[in-house]
Amino acid sequence: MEGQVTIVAKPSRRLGSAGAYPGRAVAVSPVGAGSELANVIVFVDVPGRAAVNPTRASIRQANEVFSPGVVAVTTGSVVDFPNDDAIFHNVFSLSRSATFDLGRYPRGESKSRRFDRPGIVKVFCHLHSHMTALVRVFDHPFFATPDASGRFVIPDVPAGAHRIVAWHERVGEVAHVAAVADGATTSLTFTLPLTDAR
Amino acid sequence: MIGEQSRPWRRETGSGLRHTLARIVALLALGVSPAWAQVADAGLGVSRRVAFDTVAGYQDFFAEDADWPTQFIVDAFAAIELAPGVQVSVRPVLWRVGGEWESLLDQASLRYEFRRGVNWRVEAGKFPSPIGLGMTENRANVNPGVIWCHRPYYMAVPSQGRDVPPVSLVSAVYPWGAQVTSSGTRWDVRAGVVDLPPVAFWQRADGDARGANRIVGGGLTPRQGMRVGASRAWGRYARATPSRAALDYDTLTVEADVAFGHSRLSGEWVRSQLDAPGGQRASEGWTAQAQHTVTPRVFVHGRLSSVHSPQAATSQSTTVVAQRFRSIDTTAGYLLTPEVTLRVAHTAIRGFGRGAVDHQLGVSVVWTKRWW
Repeated sequence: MEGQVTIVAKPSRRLGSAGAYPGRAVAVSPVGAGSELANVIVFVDVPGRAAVNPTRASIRQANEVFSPGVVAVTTGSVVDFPNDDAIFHNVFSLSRSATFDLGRYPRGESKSRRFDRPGIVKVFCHLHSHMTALVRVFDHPFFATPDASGRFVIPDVPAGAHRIVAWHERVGEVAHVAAVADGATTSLTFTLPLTDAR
Repeated sequence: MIGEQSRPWRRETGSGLRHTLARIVALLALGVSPAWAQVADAGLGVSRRVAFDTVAGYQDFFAEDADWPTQFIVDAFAAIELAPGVQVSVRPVLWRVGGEWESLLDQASLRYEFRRGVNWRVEAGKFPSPIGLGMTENRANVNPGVIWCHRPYYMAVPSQGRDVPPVSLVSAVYPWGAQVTSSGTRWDVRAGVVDLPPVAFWQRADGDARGANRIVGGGLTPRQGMRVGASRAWGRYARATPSRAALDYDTLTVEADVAFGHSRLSGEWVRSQLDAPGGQRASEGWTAQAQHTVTPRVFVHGRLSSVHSPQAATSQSTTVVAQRFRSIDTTAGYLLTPEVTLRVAHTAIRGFGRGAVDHQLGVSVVWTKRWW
């Protein structure tokens, strides 16, 4: 399955960092205008579980921003939370799918969390209330994040009629029902009306 | 209290302020020009992104035989992103240091960050002096001590002779200029030209100090949280006068920073070679500091600074005597909330030419707020 996601958007109007002292190294922020596509997850609404291969993902803390802001993983996967800032961060979540508190840790350190239950995990920093991220945990492998141009590919989707969902935290779900045939490529187009400007 | 004693604090002169405002207007005019607007609006369909934060602080020092004026500061930073990676930044500062309110403009720059093979930043306008560890944490919310700065950066070294303007080992100046920075995962380099020598005493806003000053620097990051760097700046710190030739300087710094566990160690060594009547002289100094987070709300910090500098024996003499400055600041901090920090400190200072050590007690409250 493949397709295209288009955002009719006003992305965040908040700069990633105040940057009075930007530091000796240049941290080109991945949170650029138009990058809200990186916060979209396209997935097949599969009833029941499917075999998954746990992976390892990373959400960095740089310039008081979680980056990437949205990560999709399979159950059993581990997400690292390295701190690149010269200040302490304290990653935590009170979501039902995963409740944890990694404690306060400084630059150069990284802590990890394994996600075993499917669902949406909202991640925050105790010390910096403007920092948020999302980990979406699936118990199947049929999901993808669009690239910078909005293209996505979800390989090996089982044949049949499926509900395909494009999801963004502030938009919610935009769904299509599509028939997937063995050996054929199904193409879909999603338009997400992202009007929220933080 | 900054440095050893109170001084008549810098005030922007009328013409200087006008020039500053004119430059800001020019920068902002560039920022709102139709060309930029088209890039931002037609190309991306987005509104401009902004950042605005303020740091407000209160600071007081007490000593048995001195009455320091209570200090306040309101330090604001605003930035507007005009196009991806392109932002205009302005940082006005209002503070009451020597008993009077002063207004400064520490930053008014146009910055472009992009990735082409490696990361790049090009910045032009007014920005923090790109040399010296202390300039990376010269803000009340970033500096872990009660005092809002590294002491030597706001302190002149002893006089180098008659008709020689005051200089610092390395100074907290915010020059106009341009710089290019590039970095990879484990390295960074920068080069720039600025109009104020980084040895110019920070209050010295007269035109005599202004000229082309070259700065180069770089560092290695062997691992996350550890960096070793060096930089060099050179140029002229005083023009020729009828009584002496022009005076040049050459400043070299080495800085290091390492974070481990709940601790951070950092330090720098600085050597400034200065032309002076009778020949070249060198001022040297170093700073070492450590910070440790004891509990989620409590931290401690210590900073030791030492400056060794020659002083002209008399105003007309070419004979020099060695002078030494040393200070030790020990601070305990408490995060009342994530935005409000309370600090208390003891400071021991032995000033240039003094045999005795002065002891002071300092307290501060800093409120940091990111509004947008």
